[in-house]
Amino acid sequence: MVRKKIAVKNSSGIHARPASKLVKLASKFQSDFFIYMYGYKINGKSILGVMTLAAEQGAELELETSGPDEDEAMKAIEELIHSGFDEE
Amino acid sequence: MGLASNNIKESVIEGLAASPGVAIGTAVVIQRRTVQVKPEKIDVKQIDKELSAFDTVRDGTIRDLQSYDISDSSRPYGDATEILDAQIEIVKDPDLHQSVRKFIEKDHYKADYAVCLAFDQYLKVIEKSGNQLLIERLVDVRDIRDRLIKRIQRHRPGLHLVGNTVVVSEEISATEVIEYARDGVRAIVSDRGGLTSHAVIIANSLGVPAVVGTRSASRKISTGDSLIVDGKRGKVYLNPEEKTLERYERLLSRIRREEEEMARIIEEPSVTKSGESFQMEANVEFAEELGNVVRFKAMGIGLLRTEALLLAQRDHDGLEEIQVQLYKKSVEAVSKDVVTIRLFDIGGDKFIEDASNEVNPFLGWRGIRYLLDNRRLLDVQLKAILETAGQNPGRIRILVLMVSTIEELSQVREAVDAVQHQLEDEQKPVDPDIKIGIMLEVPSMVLIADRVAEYVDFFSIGTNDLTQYTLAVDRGNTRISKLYQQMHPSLWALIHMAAEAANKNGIGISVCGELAGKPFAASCLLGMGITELSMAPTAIPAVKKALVNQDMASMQQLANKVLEAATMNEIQEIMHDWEKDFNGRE
Repeated sequence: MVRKKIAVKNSSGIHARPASKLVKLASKFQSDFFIYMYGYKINGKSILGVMTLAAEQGAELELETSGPDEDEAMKAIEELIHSGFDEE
Repeated sequence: MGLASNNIKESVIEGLAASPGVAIGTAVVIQRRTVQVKPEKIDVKQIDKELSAFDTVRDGTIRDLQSYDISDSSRPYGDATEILDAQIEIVKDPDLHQSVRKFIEKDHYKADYAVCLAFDQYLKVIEKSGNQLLIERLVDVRDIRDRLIKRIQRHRPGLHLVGNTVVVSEEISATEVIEYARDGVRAIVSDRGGLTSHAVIIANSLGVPAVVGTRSASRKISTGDSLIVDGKRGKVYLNPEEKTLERYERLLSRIRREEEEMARIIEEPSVTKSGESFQMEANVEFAEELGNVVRFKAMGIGLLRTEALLLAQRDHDGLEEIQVQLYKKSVEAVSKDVVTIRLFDIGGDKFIEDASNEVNPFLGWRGIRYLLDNRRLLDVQLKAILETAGQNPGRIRILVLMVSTIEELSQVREAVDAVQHQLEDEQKPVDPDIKIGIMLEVPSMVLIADRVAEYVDFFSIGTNDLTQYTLAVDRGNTRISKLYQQMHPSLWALIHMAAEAANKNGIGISVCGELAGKPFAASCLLGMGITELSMAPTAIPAVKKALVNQDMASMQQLANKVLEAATMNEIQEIMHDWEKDFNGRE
């Protein structure tokens, strides 16, 4: 299991399109992917779940991947969030 | 239009100008009938049937949404595809699926009610979040919910619309806009929604005129009413008068004529009347312009300006990231063609703190001179370019600017090689045949162009700066602005020299300055043997129209005339004769 903290970077936060990108990316990996935020835990492969976080810019997320490709999954997901979801 | 009779008065409903364009048509007011679900329980024996009913509906909905192929419309760039993707992702949501199954299996609800319950769990949380952007977009989530429910209840999906329909609705979802556009709806009016809603983004990318935020339009307008929608001004005319109708009909037919001609020219192959092919490319600075690159069918990006990125991001990590984003998007926009990336144009009139305070900035620490003294910055740019080139071999070229001696070029080559090796060490793909060219803007390089040609893969003539350096005229100085003439005989002589040198040495040559975007000048350039022209994308149709309607012999004659001219007056005369002749032939 891998766990990492990361802050939301893009100015509009994780709204529908970023959520869709995140979920699509996470779904490519076999590993389970969960996001923790302010005490909530949601399945990172569920777009509706990700949207319920209503994560705005600056929100602190804790990512958790576990499974055979947990490291690759974490790296890819981190990159996407770090890049601000290729927005702007 | 019998409705424009005396007893019904024209009224104007104001809203937000959401998607440009004009439409005259008949209103169809959509009543957003809320779907009805009842908490009906089912018999245990029916569980499997309800589960498979849901699965069938889910698969069918995914298939339907995936069939809305909006990626190859005339304005494909932008976010429309991503929005549709997000909609599909909602239907596919694994947690939602589980939750619906649970409501059917454990609680014995019918599939439609189970869907409603499953969605409500999420909708309630998001509604309470206070995140306005997300709340505004819930219309798209509810759309998916209602779509699934209606399908389970066997509602016939979609509207059957005829003729010049203008859809008027209280609220509109992104998916509905796609469906309306597919069904040939002429325009959309929505009481709610702002300029950033998904529905508006899609309307723009599909070219459907739209006015939103009209508040009460869906109550004031009835199905069958005559309407004019002016998406550019954000106005809806209800029961327009004869006079208004005539005005808009004239406007509409003018827009249509222009669009038709443009569309025809864009589609034509880039070939002169006598059969020689040429290449129309685009000058680009911002990602937002890439939509026009696709729309006007530019065959590549002949000049990608990069210095604006410096203003957006000064720290090196961030700078690398935003570069890669722009480069990638540019490569994607021109599908199989080439993107020529010009190195940062620092100095000159482009403000960089430590390059300022020069008496003569245009003759000073500018372009490659600055970059070779600030190797970190040059390396950051080369890394982003070469990384993108490695992933897209043969699709990216490097353009070095403000070169005044061949030695500078050798230094750039060394820097490129060093970064290529670094990438190889990092096991990243590289393009071993990366092409490096120079911007011909300092006369010294043009005067020895035949020798420079041995050191580079291509020339690109920057006529704007070549003019100011050749004529010793500061473009910004209003007292001498009359002397700034891009078509001065000396400029034509230099361009001719460069073209000869390039063609003799078998290297590429293009023009990316203002000249290339002018029909007369472009004809002269083609006559001199320069077949690659790069310009603002919107200039492409007019220039292309001129080039496809002339044969090479007459353009060569034209080139010879300007090459023989001694004064600006003579050039002006040649141009006027050409314009008269060209417009007369039309």
